[in-house]
Amino acid sequence: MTSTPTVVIGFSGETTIRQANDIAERLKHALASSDRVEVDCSGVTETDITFIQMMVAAHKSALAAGKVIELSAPARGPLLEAVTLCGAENGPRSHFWFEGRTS
Amino acid sequence: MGTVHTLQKPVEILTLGLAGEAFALEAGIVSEILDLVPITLVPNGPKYAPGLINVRGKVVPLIDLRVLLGMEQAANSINTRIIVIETLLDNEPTTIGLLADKVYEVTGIDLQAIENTPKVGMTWPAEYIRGIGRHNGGDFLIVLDINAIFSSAK
Amino acid sequence: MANAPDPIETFRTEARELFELLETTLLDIEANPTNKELIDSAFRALHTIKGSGAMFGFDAASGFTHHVENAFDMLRKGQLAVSHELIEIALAARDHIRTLIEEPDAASPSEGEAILAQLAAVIGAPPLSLVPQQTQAKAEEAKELHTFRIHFRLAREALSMGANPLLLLKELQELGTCTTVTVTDQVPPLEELDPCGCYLGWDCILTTDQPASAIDDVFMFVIDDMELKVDVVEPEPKRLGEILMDRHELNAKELDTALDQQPKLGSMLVDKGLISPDTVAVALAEQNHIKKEAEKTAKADSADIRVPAKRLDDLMDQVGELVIAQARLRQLANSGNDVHLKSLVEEIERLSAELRDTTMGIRMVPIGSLFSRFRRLVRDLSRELGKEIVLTTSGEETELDKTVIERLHDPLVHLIRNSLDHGVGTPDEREASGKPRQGNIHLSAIHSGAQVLISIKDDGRGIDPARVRAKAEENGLIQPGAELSDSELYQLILLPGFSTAAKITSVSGRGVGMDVVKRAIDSLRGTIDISSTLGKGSEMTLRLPLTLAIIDGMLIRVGEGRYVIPLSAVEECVALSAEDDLRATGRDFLNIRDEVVPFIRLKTLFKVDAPPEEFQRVVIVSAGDMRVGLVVDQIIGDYQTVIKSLSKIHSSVQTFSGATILGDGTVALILDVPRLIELGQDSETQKKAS
Repeated sequence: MTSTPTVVIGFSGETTIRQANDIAERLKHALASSDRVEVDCSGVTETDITFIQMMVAAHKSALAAGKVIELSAPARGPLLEAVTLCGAENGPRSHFWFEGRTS
Repeated sequence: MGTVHTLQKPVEILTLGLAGEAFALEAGIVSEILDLVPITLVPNGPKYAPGLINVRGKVVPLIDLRVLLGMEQAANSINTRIIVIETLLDNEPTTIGLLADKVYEVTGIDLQAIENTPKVGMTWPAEYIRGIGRHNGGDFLIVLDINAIFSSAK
Repeated sequence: MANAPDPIETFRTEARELFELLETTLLDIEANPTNKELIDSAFRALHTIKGSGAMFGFDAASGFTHHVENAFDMLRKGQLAVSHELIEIALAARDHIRTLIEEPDAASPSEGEAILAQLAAVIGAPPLSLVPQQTQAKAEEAKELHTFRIHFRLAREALSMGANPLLLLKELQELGTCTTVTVTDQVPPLEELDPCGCYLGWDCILTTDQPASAIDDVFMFVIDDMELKVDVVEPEPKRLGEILMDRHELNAKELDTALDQQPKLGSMLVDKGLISPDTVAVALAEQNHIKKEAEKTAKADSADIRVPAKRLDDLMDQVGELVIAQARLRQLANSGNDVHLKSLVEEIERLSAELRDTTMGIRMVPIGSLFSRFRRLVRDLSRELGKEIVLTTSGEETELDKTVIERLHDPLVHLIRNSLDHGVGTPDEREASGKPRQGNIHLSAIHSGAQVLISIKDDGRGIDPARVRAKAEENGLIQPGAELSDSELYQLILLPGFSTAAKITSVSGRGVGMDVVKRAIDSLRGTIDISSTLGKGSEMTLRLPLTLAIIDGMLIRVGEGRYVIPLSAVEECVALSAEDDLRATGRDFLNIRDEVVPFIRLKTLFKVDAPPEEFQRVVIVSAGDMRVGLVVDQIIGDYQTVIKSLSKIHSSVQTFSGATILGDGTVALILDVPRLIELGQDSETQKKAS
């Protein structure tokens, strides 16, 4: 099996409903072009529920296609605050948010 | 000098008769045409709006265009009809009934035919008239501007 | 999306209610400084405004409110005491917050800073309290903890409408200890996801000392379009099986099947001889009972429902149409011989009457909601004028149509301001005339037949008839030396261009605006009665018809035309004999049982060109204390009718207040009784004046 190189996409600044459509496009594009996608959120300064939801949707898509999508690093700063509010540590996807890259 | 009203498509009009003259109005505002129904007179009301009628449970004012156009008012006959229209009165959508001596048909008039020609002798207020058209290549038809009539009738 | 409700406007509408509540609560706290529930209520209102303000982008308002909220938190905890000063500041703060939300551009930041400075000063100062020190020292009672299971899910478009679930979660977590789980099962794969849609739900277990209403408050501004389930949970740790069942992860059958394979605790104990089977049965019964009790008390289903006003208007229209159609049906049935049809029609008549009453009732609102708004007005204005005046009310439960109440607000404000400004004097003046220093304005409302009577009564100076006469003569409203009774004189106050205000104060502005009040009451088809005793006080009584749209009418004939007179205005009907008719020619009044009544011949008024009929009748109608006799050709009968307004073309025709459709399908005009009475009185007054 030829493995495709990991595609890394970085989000910085605001990742809210205002950028939601763009973020969706970038994620779809990344997932279409590779079997491994890494998402770097270290530059995110402001986020909202749409971003978290988008990640969940991306994770579901990846899983269904046998692909992998991970965070580059465990969630920090505004993103960490947001996922904590959502009780991510109690949910089935906690490893996605708190473990980051696994390789 | 006549100016040409440029309307985008052939306009549907309703042709009617008032005091022997033929007029037309935009069919789009017409909701129905009734035979003569009992008219309740409004004492001390405006001359051009002699009464009220019942249209499907709605109390609708009846307008006599002949008064507004300064024409002779003949008595009602079996041909008399009431044209029910929806138009704006003081920017509020209102249902109004128009008394007509006769109603002919709904027909199309196409754009080149509507010209604003002062050549034909105007015995009635020019602002009430949208233009003159030729009907079926034959008679001249005066197309009324209902909105203008109502905004100035007070 | 053009027709989607603007979320900011929705927030503003909701916020308005909160502001009203806050104001009333603050005034109540001033009167009851030891009432902890009131303080909690004010705190919660401020807390909600702060949080939701932030959610909808009103950062300035939210930040400002935060400080006021803190002060009330201190109040709650007994670290601060209630004082007149504090309430004064709080009221000013509330006004400022309101401006920040309703008209942000009009808000003055320096005003806000000034209020906050005053607040800080009050907080820092030693407690000069309305409450004796001992009760403050009482330790806070241990608050009871409750555990709630909260499940919520927002509407798909909620996010694009400004809802922020993260803020909602934060609010919930501030209430106590909260464990949250985000429910992601409805999130579609990325290709199908609408990036701005909301597919998530949330489950929270919250242990808090706050009541369930505090949880509802968190969702106050999004509640109209979301799923919210709040259940009380027993604080003891639940067994896994029960928790799974409560969360619908497992149904009872599955649980039972699994448990069946396990030996039951109860039977184990019985087997061991530790307890008897009956004991187990009783214990299980208790367990079930508590569970059921808990379930019963857990859910507080709201008994109220919000309905857009337009939907109610449409409903009223449709009920109106039904009433008309049913009247026509009745006429049809009565003209035939079918007994079955007649009885069925009677049944339908009864049902439509009930439907009409119920529908009318939907929009009826107690007038108390209006009265309470005036407490603040009276308090502030009387202070500004250096007077001591207290507002008392009665009949708050009297109900009126919601739109009528709204339209009454401005006229009532006018009348109250009048009493405050011109009616009631300063404490010194009052003392000098042997009155108590504190003045009183009393608002009351009561049903009277088909009308509502609303009265504004003050114990002030009263109206001086001599001054009214002088002013009226000065303005050419009456001829000098004209003979008018006191009540006729008072009615002149309602005419435009009349004013007895010797000086213009900032309170009432130029003139008294009584003609504006009259116009407003006229438009509600009501009347104003004025009575007064010089030196003792005055009373204004507003009489309003109870229902706006459906009335009982009396059908009459004048010439060939038929007209309807609202039955509630009809006092009596008398015959007009040919001689009386002759005797009354050229005069303006009739002699009816030795009483003089001004009259109007409708035939003349309507310019009907027909000879007088043999059996004319006089319908005597009244509005307030005034009457007029209407001469008609025939009284046909009673009709229940729906009032339809006249279009702009005819609405300016005097003497008609609307139209209706009779049983036979023809249109009949409805007579405007107050206007006709004016006409009748006019000729009387003119007679006296000339």
